[in-house]
Amino acid sequence: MKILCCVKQVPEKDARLRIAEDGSWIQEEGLSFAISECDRYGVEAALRLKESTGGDVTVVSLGGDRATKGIKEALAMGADRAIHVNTDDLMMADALTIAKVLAAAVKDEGFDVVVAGQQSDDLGYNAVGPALAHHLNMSHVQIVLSLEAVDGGKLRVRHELDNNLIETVDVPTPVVLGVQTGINDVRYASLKGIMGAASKPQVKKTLEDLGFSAADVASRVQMQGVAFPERSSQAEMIEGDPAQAARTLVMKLKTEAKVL
Amino acid sequence: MANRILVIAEHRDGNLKLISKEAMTMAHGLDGWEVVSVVLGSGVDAIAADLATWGGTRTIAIESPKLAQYTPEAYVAALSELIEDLKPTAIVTGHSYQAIDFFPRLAAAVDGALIPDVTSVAEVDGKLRCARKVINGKLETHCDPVGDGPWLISLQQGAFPAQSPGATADVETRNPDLSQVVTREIVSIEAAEAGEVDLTAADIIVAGGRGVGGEKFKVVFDLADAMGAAVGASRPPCDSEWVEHERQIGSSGQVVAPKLYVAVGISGAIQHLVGMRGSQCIVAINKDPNAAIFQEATYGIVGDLHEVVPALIEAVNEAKES
Ligand SMILES: Cc1cc2nc3c(=O)[nH]c(=O)nc-3n(C[C@H](O)[C@H](O)[C@H](O)COP(=O)(O)OP(=O)(O)OC[C@H]3O[C@@H](n4cnc5c(N)ncnc54)[C@H](O)[C@@H]3O)c2cc1C
Ligand SMILES: Nc1ncnc2c1ncn2[C@@H]1O[C@H](COP(=O)(O)O)[C@@H](O)[C@H]1O
Repeated sequence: MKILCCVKQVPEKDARLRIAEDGSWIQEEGLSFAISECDRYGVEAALRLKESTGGDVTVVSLGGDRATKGIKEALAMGADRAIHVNTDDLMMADALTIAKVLAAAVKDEGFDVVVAGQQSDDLGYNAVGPALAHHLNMSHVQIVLSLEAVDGGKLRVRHELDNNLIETVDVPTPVVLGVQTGINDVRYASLKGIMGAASKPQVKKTLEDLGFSAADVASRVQMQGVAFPERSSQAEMIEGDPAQAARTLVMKLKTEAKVL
Repeated sequence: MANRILVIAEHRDGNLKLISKEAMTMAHGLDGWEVVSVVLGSGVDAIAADLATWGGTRTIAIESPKLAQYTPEAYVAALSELIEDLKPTAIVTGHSYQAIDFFPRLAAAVDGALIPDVTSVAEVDGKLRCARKVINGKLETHCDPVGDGPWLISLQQGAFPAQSPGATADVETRNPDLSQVVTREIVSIEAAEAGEVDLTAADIIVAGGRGVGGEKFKVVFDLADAMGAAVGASRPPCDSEWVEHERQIGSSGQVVAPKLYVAVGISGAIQHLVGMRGSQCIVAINKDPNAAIFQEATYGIVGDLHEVVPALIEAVNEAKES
């Protein structure tokens, strides 16, 4: 199967965030970036699918120059080639615009399966996968827990529904899958993989290469800056060194809240 | 002409979902908008009648054998047709797992502006300005849809507590021909496997998150031991198999409401909060003073859990002795 795997480069989980001076977004200098959590499971899922059915895995990432780090990691894990949609312009774009651009970058390749994450760690739309499926005229499944190839060119996919229900569906390929975290054990890149990554084919495409004007990729949603949420809560913050704070807390749990 | 807002309602096992009642409540909060609601299925009269009691001018039941079970194909086909007909300025629905599946695709199909997982909505300069979280819930942003619509907005669970409007809409039924729509084959729908650990009966729960770290997760058990508590977790410790999956608390795990809930190294993502918000007293221990979990907490300690938790174990043991 021809498999595509979407990887997004996002600020590392416990990175100390600072808001940019103009308040529009976070200050990116000095931050470290990593592959978004779901996408790491996605790379693993794509590689396993290739290992069971044959074929190859292409990674696609849309982002500025720093996206190359995530691409390299995916190649080192075992992906075969990469497409980098190289632009800084869509950092805060809406899901539909991101999906439209990703679709344009891959539409001529005839992928059978596209693995995406069900949610990115930065913009967190839960949306790019299904929107991408629309543009590529593929079926899609969100919040995917497992996938396997079955007869008739279909995939059998388990995914989460509300109320702790798990649905199993047979979907025709081509299909876009939005994978959930925790669905497999993500492999580490081998030394050989790391050494080999640099020689694997990588194409860079700009928005211009894809035939987009600035108006074509103007966001459909305008973000009005970011801020740390206001502390609206009535939480009582307990101060002091750990020993002090711990004693105060236990006292309060006993005498004030009466829950201990 | 008044702006029109279409509310897409969901149901499961014959019942209107709470999150859909919340969406109706949000829609009613808009001044001077015409509220139309829609429910899709096969044999959904009773659900439509219930939905109508949540107000608006019209409730539309879309009936088709193709809608007997949810599929994104049939949902998107039926809703695209309805949207073409009604031309709503805004379309809202609850940010449920089902909506995560079909709503973005619907937004792309009707070429709308999509704003997912929204926590508040206000009318500003003729647009609906929406608040939502970014960067793993750490920051808040406000965003405006661009263009005349449709604006597709999904609402975070619990953000608009359901309030009955005390008015009933007229119900109409539509029977679109969806016979040409090719839907996926549903093999089964089953309840997720329940484990051995039932946290719902515990009086006290100590829950650990990703911040605890794999090798050090034992501190969570130690604190639980000292407190006579059960051990729970957010999703990442379960994903990484630091603890059993069945200890997961949240929208994909157990929903608990103990007397005391101690959240250790947990950031407070909405999918976790919905599983423990009902707790009588919540203690949060986190090194990040801006962590969302502090919004829910009764008591908070900002600090390194690997210092605070051992101190807490000691303090609990001391208190037992005295
Ligand atoms: C469809 C869907 C379903 C989901 N279902 C669930 C679910 O059922 N349950 C669930 O929990 N999540 C669920 N999630 C995941 C959820 O969105 C969050 O990713 C998850 O809850 C985060 O877990 P966490 O708080 O442990 O980790 P993080 O968000 O990474 O937070 C770790 C926290 O630890 C703190 N920390 C780190 N080191 C220390 C230290 N030394 N001392 C003190 N504090 C420290 C950090 O400041 C941070 O706040 C779901 C997500 C989706 C999209
Ligand atoms: N800029 C991007 N580059 C590559 N993949 C992306 C990008 N943005 C989103 N995706 C994919 O879409 C998934 C869902 O993202 P989101 O809809 O933002 O939650 C991510 O986990 C990625 O797999």
